[in-house]
Amino acid sequence: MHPDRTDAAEIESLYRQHGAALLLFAAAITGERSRAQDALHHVFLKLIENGNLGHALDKKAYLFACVRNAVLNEAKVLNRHTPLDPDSAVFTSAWFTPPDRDYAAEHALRHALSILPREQRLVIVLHIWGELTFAQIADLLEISANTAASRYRYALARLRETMLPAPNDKEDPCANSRG
Amino acid sequence: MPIPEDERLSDERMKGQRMKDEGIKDQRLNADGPNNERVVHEQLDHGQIADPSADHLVSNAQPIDEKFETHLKQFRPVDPQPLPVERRVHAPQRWFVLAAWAAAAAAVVAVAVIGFHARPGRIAPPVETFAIVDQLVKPQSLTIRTANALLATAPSFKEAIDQMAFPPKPAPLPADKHSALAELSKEKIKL
Repeated sequence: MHPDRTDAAEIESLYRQHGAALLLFAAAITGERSRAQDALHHVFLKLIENGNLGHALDKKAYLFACVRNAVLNEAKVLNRHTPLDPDSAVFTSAWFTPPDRDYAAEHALRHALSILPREQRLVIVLHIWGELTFAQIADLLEISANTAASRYRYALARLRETMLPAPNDKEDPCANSRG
Repeated sequence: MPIPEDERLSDERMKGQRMKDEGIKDQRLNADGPNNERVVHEQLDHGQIADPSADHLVSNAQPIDEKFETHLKQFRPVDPQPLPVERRVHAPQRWFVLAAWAAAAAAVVAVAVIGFHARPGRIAPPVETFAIVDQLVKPQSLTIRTANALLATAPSFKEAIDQMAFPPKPAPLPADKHSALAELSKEKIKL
């Protein structure tokens, strides 16, 4: 059954609303922004063509699951895994729009994400930029909520260690928050 | 460069490091040992805790660096490229409607012009007259084919040339019609 115009408009609205986070999530899995973009387009075009989001109780979580499945299926077809390598050419395109045009910080964040273990990277992307709860993340990644939270905390700590300078540096924006 | 750590090794190391670092706070999460995860899931399954409260339960185990979280959230993910779908047909439909109206208006104008020229007040020659005029005006054109035919059929070359130069008269007029030239030729004009 083809969706009517309202359905297509709703899907396009979801794309505009969550597309950036979904793309980041896909890129965190693939390591290639172009592949992530292709997977994202594949998911949404399929939804527009014959998809019906009515059955999804949590549409946002459902979209993240669709993107994850699409990326994994594509990787299975291609039979390859591209590791996140901060020095590789595929990892040179920006993933974020940095505050105050601080592109050095954007590069530092990408580098910090790239050296995280994949599971921690996915959790932190899903929680911070995907704005999913730990319960949603647990459901999506088929882990427990505790595991999701644990991975998140350690990812956050490692990001902080990688990105931010020494604690006594005055420019550390989060220096006061350290325990 | 591959991902630096294997997932399982990383999780094990994380767990050990967490137990060492978090001490009492971490015991709250793992107080029930392996059953804790099951309890949380049961609570989730029975709706005793909603998703946000599950986050609260987990995140209370250790205060999360909210300032650093806020700092990270300032980095906005780059927007994806627009979906490669055909744009809505609203605009083309509008153009199509306008074009249809324009064509209809042009058709109305054309009909009006034709009707103006063909209105009864105007004297239009009868159709028969057109036929006669056609017969008188349109001489049979000389073509190579007709010339060959004339040369082949004519008794002499001179006669063939004459027929080419003076083609035969058009078909005779109907009985009720008279040629003006024929009538004039019958009159005897006295000079």
